[in-house]
Amino acid sequence: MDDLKSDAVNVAAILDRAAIEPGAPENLRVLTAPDWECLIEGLRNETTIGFVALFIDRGRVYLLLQCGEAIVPVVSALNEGTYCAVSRVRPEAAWYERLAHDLNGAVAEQANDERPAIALGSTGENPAWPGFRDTPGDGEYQIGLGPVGGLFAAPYHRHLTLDGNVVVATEHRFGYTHRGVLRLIAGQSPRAAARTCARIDSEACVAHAVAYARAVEAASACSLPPHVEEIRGKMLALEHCTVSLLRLARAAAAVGADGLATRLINLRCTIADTLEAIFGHRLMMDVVVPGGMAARPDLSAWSALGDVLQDIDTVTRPFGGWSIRKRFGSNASFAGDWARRARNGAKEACIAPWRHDAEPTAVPLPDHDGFGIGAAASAHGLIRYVLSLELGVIAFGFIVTPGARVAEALERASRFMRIDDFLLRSMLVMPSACGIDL
Amino acid sequence: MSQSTKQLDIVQGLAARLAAAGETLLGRSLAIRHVDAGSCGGCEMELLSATLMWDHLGYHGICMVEDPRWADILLITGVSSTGLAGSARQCLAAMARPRFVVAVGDCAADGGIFKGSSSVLGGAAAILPVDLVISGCPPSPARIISGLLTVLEANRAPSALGSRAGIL
Repeated sequence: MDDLKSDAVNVAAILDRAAIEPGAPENLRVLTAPDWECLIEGLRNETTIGFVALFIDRGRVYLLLQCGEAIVPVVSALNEGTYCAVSRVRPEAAWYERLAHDLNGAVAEQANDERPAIALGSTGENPAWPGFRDTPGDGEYQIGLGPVGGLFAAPYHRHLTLDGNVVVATEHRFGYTHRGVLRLIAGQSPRAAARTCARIDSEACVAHAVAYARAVEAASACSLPPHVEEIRGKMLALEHCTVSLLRLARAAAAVGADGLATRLINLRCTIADTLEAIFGHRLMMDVVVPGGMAARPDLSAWSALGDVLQDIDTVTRPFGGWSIRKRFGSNASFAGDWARRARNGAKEACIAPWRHDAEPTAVPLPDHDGFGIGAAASAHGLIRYVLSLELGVIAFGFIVTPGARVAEALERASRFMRIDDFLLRSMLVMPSACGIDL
Repeated sequence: MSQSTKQLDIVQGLAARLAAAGETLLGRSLAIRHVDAGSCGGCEMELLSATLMWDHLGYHGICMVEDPRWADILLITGVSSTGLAGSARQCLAAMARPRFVVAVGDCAADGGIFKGSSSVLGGAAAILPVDLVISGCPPSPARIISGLLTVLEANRAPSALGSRAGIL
C-alpha cells in the first residue's frame, strides 16, 4: 500500500516505466495490474491529465488519457474479466465502464455506477433496461418522456423529477437505437467499414468519416496528398454549417418564429442540393474514405455554393436581435452559438475554393498493421476513433463521441430550470441518440 | 425560377394530389406520426426539412402529429433495432383505421448497411406490415411528401380501403 501511495503521486513515472507495444504511429503503454491500480490512484490528484475513454477488447482494458495535446493510450490485461475501476477517481469514466460491461462483460471493481448502460433488447444478453437513480422527495413527482408505449418523442428515455414546473433532476436512458456498430466494423476491410461509420450519426457523418479515415491512415502509416486534408476541412465546415441551420430552424419553430424557421430550412435545403451536385450526396456521406476521397468533387458547382453561403449572415442575423433573444430567454446564448457556428462554417468553407483539379484525391493504403487514433470535430464536439489493423482488416475499433458527456452536462444544468426552458435547451444542445448508442 | 417559387409549385402540386386522393379516405387531410426505430438521423433531417420548409404544407392539411391516435400514416425511419421494435408495434396498435405504414430510407427498407447485426431485426417490414417504401439514403424532402401521397392515391378506391383494412 505504501508503494501504491508513493507511485500514485507520479503518474508520469508509471507511464514512463510501462512496456511499449509498438504501433504506428501510436505506441501503446502496457501496464501490469499493480501499475494499473497505481495509475488510477495517481489520477485522483493529477489535474493535468484528462480522461478521454475506456474500452475493452480481447481480454484487455484500454484507457485513453489526454496529456496536454497528446492522447496517450494505456492497456492492461483483465484479471478474470475484471479491472480496477477508473470511475472512482474520474466519474466521467462511469459511462464507459457501464458500456464495457454490457458489450464485453468486463466488470469494473469498485465502480461508482454499476447500472447497465444500454438495453440490448429482449433478444440480447441483457434484457433489463437500465434503471434510474432518482427517487422523488416531498412534493416532487416524476414523468418519463421517451419510448413509453406508442408515445415517444425521441429514441431515448428521459426521466424528469419535477417540483411544480421546475426540474429537480433529469436522467437519460440510452441504448434504444443500439445497432452493434463496433461489432459490425470488426473484421471488415477499412474501405467497407467506412460506409458503416458514415451512417452512425447524420449530424456528424463527415466528422465520423474523417475521424475514422484518420485513424485508419494513422494505423497503416499512410501519407496523404496535402490538399486532401484541405478538402476534408472544408467538408467539415460545411457540415457544421448545415447542422447549425437545421438546429436553429427547429428551435425557431419551437419558439413560434415560423417565418424564420422556414427561411433557415430553405437555405439548408438549397445548400444540401448544391452539396449533392458537388459531392454526389446531400449529407456528403461516402465521400471521405481511408486514403483520401472516394470521388473527385465536381468543382463546377462550387461558385453556386459560395453564393448560397453568403445568405447565412442575413438569415442568422435575427439571433443577435432583441426580439428573437427575448423568445429564447435564458437559452438565447445557446441559439446564438449555433448561429455563430453556422456563420463560421460558411466563412471557413468560402475562404478559398480548392484548386487541385489535376492532383490525385486518393492514395492506396499501405499494407501495414498497427494501432491508430483519429479525431475530427463535429458540431457537438470532438469524435475520436481508435482502431487496430491486422492483416488488412479492422481487428477492433472503438468510437468516442461527445454525446454521453453532453447529456450528462445537460442533466447537471437542468436542476432548477423551468420545464419549458429545459425542453428548449435540450432541443438546442442534446445530440442525437444514434451518436451515443452506436 | 427562384427557390421559393419552385417550392411553392411543388407544394401546390402535392396539395392537388392530396385533395384528389385523400378525400375518399381521410377527408382531405393527412396526419403523420413519425417513429425513429433506429435511424442515423439523416431521414429525420430531411423529414424535418419537409415539414418546416413549406409553411403552406399545414395549410393544405398535411401535418405531423405527436399522438398515434390522431395519425393516418405511421412513418418509420431507420433500421428496426431490438430496443424500439416493441414501441413501434404499440404505436401502430394505437392508430385508428384506415392507417398506413410507410418506411422511409434505405435502412427502413431492408436494414441497409446495418443488416446482419445482432441488434438489428432488419427493415421496418420485419416488425410491421409496410404499405410503401420510400427509398434513398436519405430521400429528399419532396420525395418523402410525394411518396406519402402515393399511398393515398393507391388506396383511394373504396374497394382498396376494404382490402387495406383487412391487412392492417
